[in-house]
Amino acid sequence: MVFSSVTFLVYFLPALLLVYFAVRRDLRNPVLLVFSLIFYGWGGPEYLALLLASVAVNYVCGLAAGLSKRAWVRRGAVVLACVSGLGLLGYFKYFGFAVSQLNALGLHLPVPEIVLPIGISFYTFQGLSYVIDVYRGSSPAQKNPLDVALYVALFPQLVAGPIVRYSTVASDIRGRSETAAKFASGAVRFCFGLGKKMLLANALGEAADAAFGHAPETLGALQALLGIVAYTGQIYFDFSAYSDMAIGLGRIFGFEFPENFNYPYVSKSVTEFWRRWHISLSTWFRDYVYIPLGGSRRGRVRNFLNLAAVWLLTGLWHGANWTFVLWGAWFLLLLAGERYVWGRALERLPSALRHIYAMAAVMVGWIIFRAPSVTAAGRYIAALFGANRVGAGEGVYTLLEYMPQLILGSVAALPLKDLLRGAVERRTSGGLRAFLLELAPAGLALCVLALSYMKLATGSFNPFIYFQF
Amino acid sequence: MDDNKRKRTGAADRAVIAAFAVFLAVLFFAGLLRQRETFSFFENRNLAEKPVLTVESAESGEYFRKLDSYLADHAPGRNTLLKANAFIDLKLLRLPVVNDIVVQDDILLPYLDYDMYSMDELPQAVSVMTENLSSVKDACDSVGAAYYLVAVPGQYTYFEDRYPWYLNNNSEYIAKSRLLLEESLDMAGVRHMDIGDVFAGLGSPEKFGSTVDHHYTLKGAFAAYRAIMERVMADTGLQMPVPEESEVTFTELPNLFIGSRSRKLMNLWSDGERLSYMTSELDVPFSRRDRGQETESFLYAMPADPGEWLTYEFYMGGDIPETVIDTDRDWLPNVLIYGDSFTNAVECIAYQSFNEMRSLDLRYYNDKTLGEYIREYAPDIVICIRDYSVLLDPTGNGKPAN
Repeated sequence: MVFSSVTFLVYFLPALLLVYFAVRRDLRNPVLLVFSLIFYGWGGPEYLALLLASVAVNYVCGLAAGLSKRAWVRRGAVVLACVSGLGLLGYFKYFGFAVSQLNALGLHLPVPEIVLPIGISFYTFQGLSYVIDVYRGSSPAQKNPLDVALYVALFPQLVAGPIVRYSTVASDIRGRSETAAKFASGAVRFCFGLGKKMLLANALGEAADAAFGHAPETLGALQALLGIVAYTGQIYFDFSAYSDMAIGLGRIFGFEFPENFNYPYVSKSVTEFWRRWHISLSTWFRDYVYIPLGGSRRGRVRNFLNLAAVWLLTGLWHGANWTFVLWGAWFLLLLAGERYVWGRALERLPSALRHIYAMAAVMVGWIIFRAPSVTAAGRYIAALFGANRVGAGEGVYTLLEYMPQLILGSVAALPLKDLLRGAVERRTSGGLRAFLLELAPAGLALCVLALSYMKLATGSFNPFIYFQF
Repeated sequence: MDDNKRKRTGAADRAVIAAFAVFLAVLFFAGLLRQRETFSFFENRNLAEKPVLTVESAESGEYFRKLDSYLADHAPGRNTLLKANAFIDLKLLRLPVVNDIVVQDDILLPYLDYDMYSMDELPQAVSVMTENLSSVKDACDSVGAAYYLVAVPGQYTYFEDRYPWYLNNNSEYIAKSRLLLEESLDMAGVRHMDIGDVFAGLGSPEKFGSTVDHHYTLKGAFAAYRAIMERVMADTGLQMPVPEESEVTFTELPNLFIGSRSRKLMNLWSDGERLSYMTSELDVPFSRRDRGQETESFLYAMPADPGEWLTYEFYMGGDIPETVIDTDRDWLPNVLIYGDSFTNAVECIAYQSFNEMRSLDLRYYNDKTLGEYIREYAPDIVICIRDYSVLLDPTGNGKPAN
């Protein structure tokens, strides 16, 4: 099930709210767990068993890693959790790709058609973080299996993040308070998230699909430019919308999930971009791969190799395709370059130029990320620079048709909310200030909800981009 | 936080919660109580049906996917929201294309993908279509019938200059396909006519094309009919009654014509186009059979009252697999007309020139192959009417005779 569906908004969410707030406090976790399993099973019940198996393995390994007095048992539990979790992920995500690569070398093996279970990359990483944190002693082992199940399967962040550490929500699972303030702020956050998805991401996605799905030899420069601008908007508003809705829903039920985005497109370097984009994944790789490998403490060469390992894994985490490997390599090059080669020179440039540099680098990255193959990415970039001599008609149409979303998206990608809030706090007081800070955003959120429902009820199904990862 | 501020914040939170809860509750109960429809008039499509729950469909996830589609198609307030969405795009945002329809001041045209057709595939498509049409001609030759392919301009070709410069109007592709097919049919000895040339010869009057629908108007159909009859009589030497323009009267109905452009953009786009019916001084009585069943003798599906909205199904009652109109004048030839919905308006006029007029729409007629039908019926004349957009489509009414 997806948040941006009639099934979720009209039936699932009202039913859950009704039941959740009607039952005794001690029954609320079981209610959330049952609804979470329905939420997951809706998309493909056959993979529900896989999710439950993952929960069981992480629960047992967590107990062994946290409670056993023998070091080899504790280490063994972590190894078992990693092997089983990453093994399943590897099978579902990479086995078919690996076989097709072997065939490219001359073998003739049958390529299995494996359907990727929704959210497997997210809940595998969550489960691993739990066992590793317990092993490291930063979280206690959870003896109640239902609590582990709720942590892994909690529906708001189950299928597309944010990747929540167990330590972040452990206390919320055991005993949280659902307050009017949390509910209201969660509802507002959910409404804005739904609006980002329904009013911006989907429309920008149409513009991006038209460019990326175009016959490469007839793709004009303007259309290619608008296509990548649109995709840059789509992937941000789509993914951050999911995070907003997850955080908002979590807050309604009393949970506090970590932020996953911090206006990444205002960045002035690629390094800054990765501090602001998909924060929960970046920090996961930092804490569980980069730092254990030695981080930046063992010299330049070792640091480069550590970065290379992280970016190869980050690329592959997004999918089994050479485009993702190249995408990871592209950011490895930029990040290593900023750290060791042009970082200082970059800092001396005017702010606007640094911003242009960062956005250009990110957008080239998105072309590689979105293109179906490395060759297609190359042809797209060539088209961007006018390799195809075709008219500007299609580009002009895209510009006129998606102008409202391009303008609104450009504004929404900026931290205007914070600027406006600061201005209101400085320049107003009393009732006007209260209205502008409290009621106006809430009123706007409800208008956005109504418009989003209109798009939902009249549009076609649009899954989230990050569902495929 | 002082007491006043705390109170204010608490009140604001409660207001947000109340509004959010009411919104969801209204949707929830409206969704449960909503009367289920099966057809979306404005979108001109069937709505998703409620899936049947079985162990297999639940296990595979198919049931839940279909249920999602069903619930989405039956979302509370959907019809009103469709109009609201179109209103925002049309009137507030003023988008050049709304719901895949190009909106100009005085016309609604279909949006055409930029790489909808490939020029490279044209010669192959022309060759296949020539082969198919030749097979129909052979079937006609076997019973001594004269065969004609009549190509007619659809709305987007007739009004191709009304597209904004930056939108695709397929003009290059259509012109090339007409030219190549014409040359190929000449070589194959298949008779053909291009009504686009006829209309151009008459000055391409605006009144021949609809501004809100893919088809020509009844006046356009009348001009096409007269051109066809002149050509057939000249080629075959057959004599048939064909009314002059002065011998017919077109009467406009007061009803709103809602057309096919997504039901004239949810009925938000205003124009004065109305449908007409034609009366002729010939005034030929006839009997009618649809799908082999005797039916009321009608040419126009007349509305019950002036408030009823009309679609192009007004002509002949829409696309019907087989219709037979018998005028019981056995000194006149019999004709078989087949094709897509462009045949309907012509048939409303053409029946008066023949003893018997049969009409087939091979998209829906499956009892016999076209070849079998022609050999059994043995008409004097066979006419295929297709518009430029499907001229090279080898399916439906472009199938070979067999």
